[in-house]
Amino acid sequence: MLKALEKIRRLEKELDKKKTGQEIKDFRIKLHSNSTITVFVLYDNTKPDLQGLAGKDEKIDINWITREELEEDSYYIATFNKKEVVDLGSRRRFANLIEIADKEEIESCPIINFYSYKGGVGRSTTLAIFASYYAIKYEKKVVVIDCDLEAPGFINFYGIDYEETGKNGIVELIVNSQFTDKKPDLRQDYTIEVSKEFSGNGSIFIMPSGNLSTQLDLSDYLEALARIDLSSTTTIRKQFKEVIEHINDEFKPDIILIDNRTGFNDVFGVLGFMFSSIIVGFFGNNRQTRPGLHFFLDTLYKIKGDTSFILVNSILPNSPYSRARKFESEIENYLQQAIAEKLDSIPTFYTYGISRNPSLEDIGNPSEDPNVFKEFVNTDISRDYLELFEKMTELIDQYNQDKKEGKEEQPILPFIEKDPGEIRRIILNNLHDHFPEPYGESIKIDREFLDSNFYFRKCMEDIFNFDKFLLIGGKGTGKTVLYQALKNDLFFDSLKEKARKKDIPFDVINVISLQQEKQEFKFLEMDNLYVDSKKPQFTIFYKRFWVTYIWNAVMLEQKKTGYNSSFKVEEIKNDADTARRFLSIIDDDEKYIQVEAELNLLDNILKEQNQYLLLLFDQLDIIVKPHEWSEGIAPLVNYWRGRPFNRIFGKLFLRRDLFNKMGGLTNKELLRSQAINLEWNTEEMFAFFFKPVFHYSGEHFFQLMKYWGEIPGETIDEIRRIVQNRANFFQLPPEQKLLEPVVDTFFGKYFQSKTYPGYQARSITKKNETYSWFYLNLKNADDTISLRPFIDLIKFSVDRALKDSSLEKNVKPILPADFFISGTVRAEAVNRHFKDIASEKGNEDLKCIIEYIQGKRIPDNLRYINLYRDQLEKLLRLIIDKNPQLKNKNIDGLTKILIDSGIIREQHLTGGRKRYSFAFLYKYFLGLRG
Amino acid sequence: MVLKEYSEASKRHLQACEVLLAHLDAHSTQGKKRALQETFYLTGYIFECIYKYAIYMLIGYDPQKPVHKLDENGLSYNRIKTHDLQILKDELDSRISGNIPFIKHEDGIDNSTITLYKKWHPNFRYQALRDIDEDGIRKFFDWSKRTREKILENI
Repeated sequence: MLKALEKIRRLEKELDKKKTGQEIKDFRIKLHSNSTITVFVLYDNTKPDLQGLAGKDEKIDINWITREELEEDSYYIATFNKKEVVDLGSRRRFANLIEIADKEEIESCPIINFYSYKGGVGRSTTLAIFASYYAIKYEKKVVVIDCDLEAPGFINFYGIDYEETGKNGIVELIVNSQFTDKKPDLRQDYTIEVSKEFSGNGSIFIMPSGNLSTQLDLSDYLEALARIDLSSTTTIRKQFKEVIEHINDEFKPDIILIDNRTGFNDVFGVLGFMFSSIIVGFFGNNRQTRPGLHFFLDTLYKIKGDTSFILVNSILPNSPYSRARKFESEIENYLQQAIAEKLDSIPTFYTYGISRNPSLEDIGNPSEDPNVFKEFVNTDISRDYLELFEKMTELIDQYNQDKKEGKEEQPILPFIEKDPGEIRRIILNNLHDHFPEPYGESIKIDREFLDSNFYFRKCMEDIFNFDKFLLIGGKGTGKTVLYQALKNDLFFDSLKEKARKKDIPFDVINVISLQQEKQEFKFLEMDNLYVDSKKPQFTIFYKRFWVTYIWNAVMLEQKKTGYNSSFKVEEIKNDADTARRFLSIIDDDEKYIQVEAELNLLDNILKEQNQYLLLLFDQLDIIVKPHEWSEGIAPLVNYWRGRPFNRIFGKLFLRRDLFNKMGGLTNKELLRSQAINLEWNTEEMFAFFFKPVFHYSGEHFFQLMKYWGEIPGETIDEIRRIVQNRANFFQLPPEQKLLEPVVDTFFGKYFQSKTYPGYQARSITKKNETYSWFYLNLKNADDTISLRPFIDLIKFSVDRALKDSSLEKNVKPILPADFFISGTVRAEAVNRHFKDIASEKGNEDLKCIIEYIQGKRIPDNLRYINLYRDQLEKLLRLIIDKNPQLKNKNIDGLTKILIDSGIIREQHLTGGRKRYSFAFLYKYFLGLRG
Repeated sequence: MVLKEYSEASKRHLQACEVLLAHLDAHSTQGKKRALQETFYLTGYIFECIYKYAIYMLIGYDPQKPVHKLDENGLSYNRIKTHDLQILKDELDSRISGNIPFIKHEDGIDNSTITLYKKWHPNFRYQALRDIDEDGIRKFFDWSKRTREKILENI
């Protein structure tokens, strides 16, 4: 902790009090670069007593200013005009560079910056390989600048004998340009051309950091380095820009690659960021690189908007994909924790993993065999590198494309019968009239509905898999819709057809039925059975309860099974009579054995008839209260886990949050392999949404897709073929390569988001990739995604768009981002989703908590996306105290509900501290701040 | 004298210039010339004083210690007591960061202002400035204000 900063925080608090008490008018605190402090106090008539504010030995200067004096001094005016009360002043080195002010555009080919915070993470090697790959494969001209000024070394690649060449580098170039106005000859004096062996039909030129070949050169290099003023943005920026312009002018390269190792304090590398179109950051797999990663991410979001970022988790010992996934989630976490609260949405990014490759380890070393490098680039290039390089190539093309669009005239577009603006309106109007409803529980399932709106999910087909008896999903995953739909013959047959199980004769019985529609009432709350007595302690009681329940439910379906019970079979009702009947079986061994025997007999009959029976259980939280699931539901799970029958299969629809906290199950992890995961992913979410779009506006959609000319014709044809084919159920499979072009056409490939007001003096826009933006910004705190907020977000945006007069204009895309990134729409979109969660059994308290936060009755210092444990406790304590309904609740219990419902996430920090973060989804809904 | 007095002196000169410029039209042509001449002369001191203040601040000089006792960080009082803005600029340039006019760049500054800046010397207390141009001197003064603000912001 810095003493001066600690002091400043105290001063701020004290002076704030004096200001509130009107003892002073206003104040500002400034920390100087020599770590002394000046306090500017604006006062009216009498100077209040500030004795004690400054310690005896502390270097604090108090500047008393009257209103009149303030108005006379432009420095005072500037000081008090700043919104921030504390000014930490300028740092000795690079910090000022990271201001986004004075951004300069540069006329250049794409510049790719290869950054790493530490060495030894494969940055330069990857750059060298990419330069070769790009030069050979695409026959391009590449210029590499070694900007690792503190430890230059790029010239060791490509078998160059550097000492022989004795070329100058970027450092000498900058300093020499100050001395003479003569245009430098880069080819002659400042670059080295790489042998064609490494560049094929393209070419590679390297501009070293500097000339280190002789003792004298080295001493000149250090002298030059000391003369570059790293403290003034204007100067260094201008010099760097000139270098880039010289390179473009003389070489006319296709790309410039910058090799850049930069710790916290190196301006040059940070500056390189500002001119880059693509920044590739390399991070190793250990904790040491974490500060660098955070610094990198912080910096990225302060620089210009149209830069693309790729983060590479490099030199991984094994399993690069799973490690890269972990890396990705670490980044997501950090973005959410530290940066996203300053931005209006979580920005999108790309991650890749690169594994250790022993054959590359000697590259750049004296023992290097140049053939290994060449072979790697030409033939042996591994999949991880290739994927990274393809992405980079795609982004380079995209950059060039964007630039061209800004300059050249639009190409002649294919003829379409209507104006594109009019077509957009038709598509959105159709969507408005046939909006996909994720919870169409009361919807009529007919052929038209299945063809137009219902999205058949891959996981649904697993209902016919005998090994999977659990269906686990959170609120809004469509558990109940599926449960209801399975009763429908048309749907059931279609699903069988899709799962290629058409020839297997299945029958379905809903064991639990709350509605008396077309079928018998089958619903009994378990605690009816022990209303007056104590809660039963024996597992056997619960097992018998369920066997009895199953038996009763199945026997009610005589028409389906053709089986006649020897007992008198009555409806299952939620009353004392049914409870007594159940108890009479549970408590009587003879009767119970007979019940079991009847079920076994039925199973045998089904086997003889080659029939299968699926028993579906939904809404179990109504039969057994959520807090009693460990006793009441675990025995049912264990029962079906034991595969009691050959032809009768239980299918249990379980709420994810309740399953997660349910006890009484051994080897729970193993159970997950027997579960169908009903959670949605980004692909399914999009595929679901676009099904009705294609059904009602397919031709118009394809017309625009073609007209705008961004998607290759063959891709459009392939998509059209799929969605027009009944065998595909008129829907796209959940595959990114098919969905991305569709998403890009509808929502646009990229859009700009803005920083949160107050974060920077000027607003910065960030380029976002729409496809991944939705997931990053709509996911729950547990990383799952709910369909409802997505669908509602689009629904409200479409409503708004239809009211907007600019819709008729011929502008891409169909639904521009302005409509769906607005805070109001995003807050609105969470509303129904939250109500659904809060209406779940066991979640009653959520409503009180959330309404309280929304009601803006909590102090501002608790209204944050991220809270430490003590802050969360304070918040919940406050809510408990103000809500009579929560009188008997404790903080741990409420925290758990918030976590289990995916609203907040708990994180363990070092030193045993805990941090809680609200899902970004709730930011606008709850009015949370950064 | 302690380092803070440099800053105060620069401010005093600045306020004096403001008074002079505010009442220009109240004078006869000759009086106006004299006021402009004094404004030019004082403006140079705004630069000088604020440069000196910044240098002392940036080397972490004890705020209570008399400035003439300077002998640290390779700097002596003999070096710093100069009125030569170029020498002071060199000392300041290597120590300060930020985009400070005259120190780090001359972007946006008129050539005539740069000429006045380079021309300035305390000898103008004895000699008269030829070609007195009101607009040029106002600009010179404005730039001294901006430079002072920028320096104060960055130390």
